[in-house]
Amino acid sequence: MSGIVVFWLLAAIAFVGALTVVATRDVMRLVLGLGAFLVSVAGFFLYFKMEFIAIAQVFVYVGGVLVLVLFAIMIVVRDEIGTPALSSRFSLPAASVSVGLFLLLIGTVGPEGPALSAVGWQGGMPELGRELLGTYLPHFEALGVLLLATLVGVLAISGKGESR
Amino acid sequence: MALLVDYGWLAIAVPLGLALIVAVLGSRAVPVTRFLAMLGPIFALAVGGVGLAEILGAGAREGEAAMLARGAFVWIAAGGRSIWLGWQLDGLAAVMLVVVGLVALMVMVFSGGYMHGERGLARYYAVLSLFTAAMAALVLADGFIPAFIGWEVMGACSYLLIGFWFDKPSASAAAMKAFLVTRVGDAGLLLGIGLLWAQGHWAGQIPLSFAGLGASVAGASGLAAVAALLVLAGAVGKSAQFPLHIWLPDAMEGPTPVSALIHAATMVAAGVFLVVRAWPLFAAAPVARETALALGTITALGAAFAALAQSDLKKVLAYSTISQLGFMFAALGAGSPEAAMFHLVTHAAFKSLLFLGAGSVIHGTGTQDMREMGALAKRMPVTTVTWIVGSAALAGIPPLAGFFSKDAVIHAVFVAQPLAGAALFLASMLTAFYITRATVLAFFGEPRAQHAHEALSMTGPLVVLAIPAAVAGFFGVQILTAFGAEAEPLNLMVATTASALALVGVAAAIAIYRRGPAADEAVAGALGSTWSLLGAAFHLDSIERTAFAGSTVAVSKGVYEALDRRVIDGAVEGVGNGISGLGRWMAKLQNGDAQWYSALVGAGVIAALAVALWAGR
Amino acid sequence: MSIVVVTAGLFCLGLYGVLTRRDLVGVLASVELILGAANVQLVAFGAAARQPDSQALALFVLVIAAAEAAVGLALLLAAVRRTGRSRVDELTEVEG
Repeated sequence: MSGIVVFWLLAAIAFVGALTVVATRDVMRLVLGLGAFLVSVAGFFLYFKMEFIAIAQVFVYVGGVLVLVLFAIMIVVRDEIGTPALSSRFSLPAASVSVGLFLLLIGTVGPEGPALSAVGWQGGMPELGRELLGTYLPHFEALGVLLLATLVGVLAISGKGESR
Repeated sequence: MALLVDYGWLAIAVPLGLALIVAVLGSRAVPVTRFLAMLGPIFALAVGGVGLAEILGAGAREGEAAMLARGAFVWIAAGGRSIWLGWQLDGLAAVMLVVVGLVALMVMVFSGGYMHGERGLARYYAVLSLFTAAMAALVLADGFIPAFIGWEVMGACSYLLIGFWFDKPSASAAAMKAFLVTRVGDAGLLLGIGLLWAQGHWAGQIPLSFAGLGASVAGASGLAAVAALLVLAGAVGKSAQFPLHIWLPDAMEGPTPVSALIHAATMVAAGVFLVVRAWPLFAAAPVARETALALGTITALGAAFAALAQSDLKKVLAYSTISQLGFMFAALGAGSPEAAMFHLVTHAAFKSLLFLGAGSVIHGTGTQDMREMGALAKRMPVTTVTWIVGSAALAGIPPLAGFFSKDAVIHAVFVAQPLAGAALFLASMLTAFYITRATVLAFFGEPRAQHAHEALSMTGPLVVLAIPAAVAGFFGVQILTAFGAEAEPLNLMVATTASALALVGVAAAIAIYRRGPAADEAVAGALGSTWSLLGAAFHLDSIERTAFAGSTVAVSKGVYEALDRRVIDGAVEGVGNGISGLGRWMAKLQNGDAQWYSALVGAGVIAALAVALWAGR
Repeated sequence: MSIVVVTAGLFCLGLYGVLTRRDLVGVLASVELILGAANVQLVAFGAAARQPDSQALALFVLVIAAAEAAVGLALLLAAVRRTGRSRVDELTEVEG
């Protein structure tokens, strides 16, 4: 029973964070919202007893991506002309896409979805390790290449760019 | 000789071919053109003359219609029904060919002098030839179809000739008016033909032929009545009877020889002729006869009144023609087509004579207004003498031709309807009065004209026409025999009454008008506003113009505004505007915003997915 | 069902943000929302089906998403440096 409470609590935090990201005009609030969301995702992973990915989420996202976003914002605020006005707007097609997709998903995938009580299995670490370096070895290595490419690309795009 | 009769249809083909040749030759060789054109009526005259000779020579008995030659062929065959074209040369056709040929020939000879130096003479002679061909076609027709063809072509020629001086706006307007007013009648005629075609019993004979007309409506008196009335409508239009008479006075805008041929002797007589040909129809339809009688009498009397107050010489003759045609229609209505035809023949002679005489006067003095003429007798003797012959014939003075034919007409009408007969007596007296008025004003009294001369080219035809005007009455028996009708002896009571009235009319006119045109004012003073009413022919022209032309124009303006401008233009422009508006709205979709585009694409995808999923269920 | 509701809801919120936010930072953040929500869903289904594969797959998604975030932020920096603008509707010209 407490599992359900936890689940819905996590869901609440995630939603609040997501809503903030989508709607706020203040950049710091945006970052905080994003952070809340990312943490709640880690919480979800834990709820499903996948500890490894939970930790990975915290390290990569909260520790890495979020900090990156923060730095980027600080640079943007410094380099940009005038006061940045973050804003969102209401767009009917966008809203209809969202709502439509939502309905579609819960209509089709929803009924097949897992019940909350079905959760309880322990995702084992040894099995994960064997998967990563066994069946998914090529994918693992490819990811390494991807990360390398990303590194190079980021340097190329943002390094030594001409200032106005 | 007999060949001429056997190939009688050449009386149509020859003038037609000559018309084309003349049209092609152009105005360069006018004398040649004139000569060629004259061959047409000469040919028609020959055919008619030979035909008449054959009929009379072969001793045809009174009361029997003689048929000399005929021929027919299928023109259009469609869906089990065929339309035939054919011709027939019988006594009636032969007499008409003689009349048409003679008058047309005289008109062409006269035109040599009258139209000398005019522009467009090739067109003139070509159309005159074409007209001769068309009239021959009508006269030789064996059924309604060939008759209608000739009828319509004559109408077109009339239009072309009235508007000969086309750069004169009044002439063009008059030509249009003539065409349109007769069109009203022609519409009725066409409906009548169609009705007969559809409802008549034509089994075993050529459809719409005159010979089979009687059998086609046997036992269907309603059909006969309606068809007869419709045919009568066409005749009323062509022969300028009330209420479709308004075009004839205006038609005087055309050259006077044209008026002599078309609007005195031939085309206007076509209406009477057609009724005579279609007589089996009228014999079976008393209502049509009564209508003809009523219209004819009204026209005869009304036009005679109008002729009293005209100062234009040609207008007097125009109203006189209308009036005399009314006499003929009254005779038809009284059940005597023979009397009507007799009067038609004599009228052709003396009315064309009078018109050509007027032409000579107009050419010699340069004016048409009788108030500017006077004492022409001294300076234009031949014209004067022939004019007097024509006038006396018109007035019905014995022993000239008009006396005999008018007697036949009035007698027949009086027997059928005494009231109408009395009206015709009155009209005869008025006829004598108005024509004497014209004679006195133009040829006698004090000279008011600057100059006057006559020319041989014009006086020649006058003399030639004066002969039948004078003596045709004595050949009444022969003429009627040719028609296949019985010649009745002169009715002494009618004859004496009519002659007496005529002499009274003549005497009164001489007495009043010997003073000259000043007498008009005295008469006007005595009659008051009636005089101007007469001069304007009871304002019928303006009344009909407002009622029919005016209302049509108003209706079409209304329809244009309501339908064409608002509905149709509105729809068309509305479609255009609508599409532009749609375009403008759709342009807003392209605003350069990548997120907007993506959203739209996404919306489309979701919708498609939803449809696919739901359909798959 | 509740899991799918939550996950789908987060996903759609993120989608809305991508299509709506006028500033690039917001758009990038919204993309993270999408990826995160998808990951949660993936893990949930995997846990219910007791498959270890799902965790591996989710890891891969996470890594790729992080890489994409890095590149996106680099682009943002470059754009701001060159044009001084960071709003989507002001960055309308593609050059350089």
